[in-house]
Amino acid sequence: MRAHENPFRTQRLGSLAFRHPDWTAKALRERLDALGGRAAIVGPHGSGKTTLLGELGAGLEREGLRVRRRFLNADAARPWFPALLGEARALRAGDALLFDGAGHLPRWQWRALARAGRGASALLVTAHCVGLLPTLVETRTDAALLAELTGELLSRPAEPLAPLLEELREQHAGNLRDVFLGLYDLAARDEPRVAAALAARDEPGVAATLAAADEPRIEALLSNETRRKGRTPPASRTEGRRCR
Amino acid sequence: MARRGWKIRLGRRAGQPGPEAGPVGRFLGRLLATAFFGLFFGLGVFFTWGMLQRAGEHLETYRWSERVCEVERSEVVRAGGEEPYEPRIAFRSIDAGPALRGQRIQRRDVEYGSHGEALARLGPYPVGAVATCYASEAGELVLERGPFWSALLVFFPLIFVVIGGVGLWAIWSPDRPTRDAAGRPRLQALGANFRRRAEGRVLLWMGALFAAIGGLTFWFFGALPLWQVYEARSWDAQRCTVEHSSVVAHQSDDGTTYSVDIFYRWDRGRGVERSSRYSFFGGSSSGRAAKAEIVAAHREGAEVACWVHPQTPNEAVLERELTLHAAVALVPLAFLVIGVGMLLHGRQISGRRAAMRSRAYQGGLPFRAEDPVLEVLPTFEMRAGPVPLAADSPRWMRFVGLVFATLFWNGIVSVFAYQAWKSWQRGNPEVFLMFFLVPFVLVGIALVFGVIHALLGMANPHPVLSANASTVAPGRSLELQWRFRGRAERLSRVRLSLIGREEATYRVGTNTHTAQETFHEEVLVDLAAPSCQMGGHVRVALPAGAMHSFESEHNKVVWQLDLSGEIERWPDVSESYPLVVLPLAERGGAT
Amino acid sequence: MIEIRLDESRSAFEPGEKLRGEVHWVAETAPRGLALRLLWYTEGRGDRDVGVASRETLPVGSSTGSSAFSLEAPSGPWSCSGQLVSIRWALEAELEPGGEVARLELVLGPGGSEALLGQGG
Repeated sequence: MRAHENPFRTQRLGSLAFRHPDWTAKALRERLDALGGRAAIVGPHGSGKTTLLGELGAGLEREGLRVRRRFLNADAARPWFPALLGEARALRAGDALLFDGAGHLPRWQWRALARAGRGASALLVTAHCVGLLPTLVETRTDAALLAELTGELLSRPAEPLAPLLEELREQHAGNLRDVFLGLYDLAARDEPRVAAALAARDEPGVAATLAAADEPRIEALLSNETRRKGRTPPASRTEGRRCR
Repeated sequence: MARRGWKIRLGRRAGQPGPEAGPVGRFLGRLLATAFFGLFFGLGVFFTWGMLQRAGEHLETYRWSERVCEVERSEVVRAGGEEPYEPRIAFRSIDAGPALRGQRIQRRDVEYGSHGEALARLGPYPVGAVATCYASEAGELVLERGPFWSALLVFFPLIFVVIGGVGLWAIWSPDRPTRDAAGRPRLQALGANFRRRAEGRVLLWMGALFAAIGGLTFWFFGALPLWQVYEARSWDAQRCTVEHSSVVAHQSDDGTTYSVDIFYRWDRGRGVERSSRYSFFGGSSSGRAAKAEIVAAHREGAEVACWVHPQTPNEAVLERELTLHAAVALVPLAFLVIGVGMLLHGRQISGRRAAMRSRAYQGGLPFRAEDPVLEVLPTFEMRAGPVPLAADSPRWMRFVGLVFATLFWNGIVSVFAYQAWKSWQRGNPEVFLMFFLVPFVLVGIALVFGVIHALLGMANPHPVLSANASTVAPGRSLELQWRFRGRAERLSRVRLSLIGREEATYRVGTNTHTAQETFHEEVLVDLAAPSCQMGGHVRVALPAGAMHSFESEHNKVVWQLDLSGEIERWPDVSESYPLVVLPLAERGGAT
Repeated sequence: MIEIRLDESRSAFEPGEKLRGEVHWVAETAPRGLALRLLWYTEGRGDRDVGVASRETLPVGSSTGSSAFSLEAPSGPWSCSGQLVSIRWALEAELEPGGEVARLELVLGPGGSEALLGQGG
């Protein structure tokens, strides 16, 4: 399978909208306001934190806020903290700071940054542990979410792949991004189960999905019935682990 | 190729994707790099400050008033210490101004290790000489202003400050966000990206520094003395009388070293001359016994043979032959070699990357009107053959790099390990230090094994690959000539393959990964027991529909030639040779 | 509405060929300008890279109209498809202001076909 035909290519993954069984877009936005615009999106790897942060940021921009984005990962050099602090101090009403990976900062730096950014209208971060800021939402993954996202990428229900999806989900400890990258490799190598599922997918649905990619959508997805059917995901929650 | 159970492979076989460093590896790498550049920076700042102070003292004399002085005393005195020859001078002002006396030629006078040098310093100021002198408002009097160019000397340690500072900044500088405030992608900027892109330029600068330091040091302490040894073959033999003879101890943090101090005189017919030069290779070394033997053979009052320069009769030497001490002169030569190697390799990397890179930006679609238009295609150098192909990472560079890393790492770790061992010997072990050092010592041991492995590999037959052109295009052919230099009969199997590979770099959450997939693997040569054939010709034809070489920020199409040789019970030979495939469409079939 | 149409409805070109066509638009008000870009981008396992080969600003006069263009296809990079990396070409036309964009996918390569990594490549 060619890279640009692979339904699990990086560009397609970026177009998947965030979804949560308990929260709608409107409810999360209201909760952010209730928390004074300062909150943390908490969750394990590959559970949609960056996706949600991006969608909330786009929403804040549409509301007229000036959004500044910062990203930190294990690969990047530590930011020059005085510059970061200066940037936070310069934030005023009407500004929003979105910090993806704020949990990678040393604790003392984070506390100083949070204090310095008090002037901003919104301060939203992602982390793997609770405690940086009040928790906006704890993201998590489960079999049902994986099935739904896979079906969206394939443009048809993903039931035929259910055993493979469960195997991958356990293998990657619930990290859905790693699961999809694994599916990418399987599709690229024409693995029989994936190939069969791809052969049966609906092509027009793919185009519709791509066309709507730029619009942020946070939808309540699972009905209570569907949620009860899902199995307990292995190690895909933060379970309230506090940042040290 | 079959893997032998007992053979430990410390590196990856050519063409295989290497393992990515985990967080611990990255942390250790940063720690090592920070220690390295921090050392440069710290030493540079220390010496820069010292030089600035000294330069300031000298330059201050340019505001002093000019006077006229007469020299009352001028002689070389032998004091103690490592630099025993001290020029002693005394002078007084004789003009109309306030009467002043002075005892220094410059604000800071120095001692010398050789009588001749101290004497030369006093040359312009014999007793009774009238000379210009300089007086400060506070009444300080000197014969000379400090050298104006002394201020320029500060640039030497500044080089270390710049290298250390740039290195530390490159390691710890912030990532510029890849998107601007409006969420639009922006060009990758300096800082962390500089780290990834500038390996070639860093190697060039580091290599230049090493070569400069090694070259200068070797020139003064190696090449010049060697030339003097050669010249001294025509010097005149003389009888010299030893006036003083002793072994001088030099204390330092590394321990005690020794040198001989023999002061002798001879009659040149128009007066007596004196010198303290024993041989052309100065300096000191460990081993007191050898120096004591020399001193015993040149006791005070003894008459010994010396060699005098025929044109400058005040220049002499006791030992004009090459001694074992001359081997020390090879040490700066190693730095020169390392520096030149880094220069060549850095130039190679820079050139290849410039030839291969197609600049682009990480962006989204649709492209924004205000984003800049970037150069799309790589530049490249086309040369007609026969053209030697350069290996991706020559093994001698790997060996030199490993040696340097091992010496540097173990040099630092050994200091602390020595402290820990001494404390254990004293019966008061520093337990925390010992446990803390364990991982560092293990890394040092691994590095030593790596050096041994690389050294064994250096003894391998050396693969040489050349082609009839430096580039090729899809549908066209390249004539390759391969051979092995050295003991090629040890090879049990030789393999030459054409590899095409696609690489994709992506960010997964908070980490960055690179996936690789080989899309073309063609064995061009596969010889078992090639002892009767140490080389050959082969034609490699790029398929007509092949993709050309391509490199952008996150995606690459790479072509290379892998040449490997298996050796029984010994590290294998393995080299990769990047191949540039041009976007030239073939019309009418392959050549 | 904005649409790109290439002469003879072609979508495959060889390096160095001329891309000729027209951009048609229907807008509520007369646009200030019309930007046309010829670019390549990557798709696949890795993060996307984009390179712009050429761009030009086409004349616009009214809220409805069309403007002809002629661009030279560069020598590369060629369109290609592999397991991890695909290089794709596209023409984009954007009305200014407003930001409405039309994109037309192209193939650029010898014989007007893309190189396949792994099949003869």
